[in-house]
Amino acid sequence: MSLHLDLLRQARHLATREPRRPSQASLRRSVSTAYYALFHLLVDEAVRRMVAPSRPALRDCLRRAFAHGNMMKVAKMFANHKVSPKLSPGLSGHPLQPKLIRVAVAFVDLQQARHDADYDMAQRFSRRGVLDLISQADQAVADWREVRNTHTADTLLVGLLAFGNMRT
Amino acid sequence: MTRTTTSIESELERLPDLPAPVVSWRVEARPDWTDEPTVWVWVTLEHDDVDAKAVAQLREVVRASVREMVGDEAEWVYVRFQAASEVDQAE
Repeated sequence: MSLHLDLLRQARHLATREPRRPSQASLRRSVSTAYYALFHLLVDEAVRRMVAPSRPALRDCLRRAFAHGNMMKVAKMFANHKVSPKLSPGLSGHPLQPKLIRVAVAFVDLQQARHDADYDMAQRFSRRGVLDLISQADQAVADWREVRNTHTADTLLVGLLAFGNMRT
Repeated sequence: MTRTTTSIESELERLPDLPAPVVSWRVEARPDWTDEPTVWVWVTLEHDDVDAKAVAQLREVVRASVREMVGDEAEWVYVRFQAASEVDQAE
């Protein structure tokens, strides 16, 4: 099974393993794991497009080049229907599909939640809220499958990697 | 932000035909981790076992409604859920 699906399964396990009162540690790790499921799916899709399968070590190098902050910025652009002119030529005039927008929305929601889970000790997580975030990640993975072979998906992936270094 | 969080809460309370029953709303205006201005809506659901699809629909209704209220003054609207029983547990 692929890493992102394993991570999603693990996120759900962590959120539900304590039947009565889930620990904050389990819920926080669950949120972080759900985010990384979507993160690794998108990174994997990008490196598979950019580097030949005969260069697995180079693919691993490229995976390290994705920066969370840049990815957040680009996901917000797509989610808010405001793709920068630096990236919009890649769309070749194609409109953003609702499913691709949903992937971008989920990415933004999950990345912020992961940040809260890992660094904001004042915030308390609830099982209901965590299960919603996992469902959002599940849906994003399903949506991605349907739009992955499109101009707009390719443009999103290029932006996730390189937007911060693009010149106008 | 021009709108107060209290006025946003009041408008949310008046939303009709929600996909899942809501007990209470709490709205905050503060930056997210990227330091952009954002709005946070904490939704307390009446029941524990609300269908995931209904929660997703509710999230989109809330996000769109708040987006309409605040326009470009917030770069993002975060919607987070908890069940009423979980609030009781935390207290």
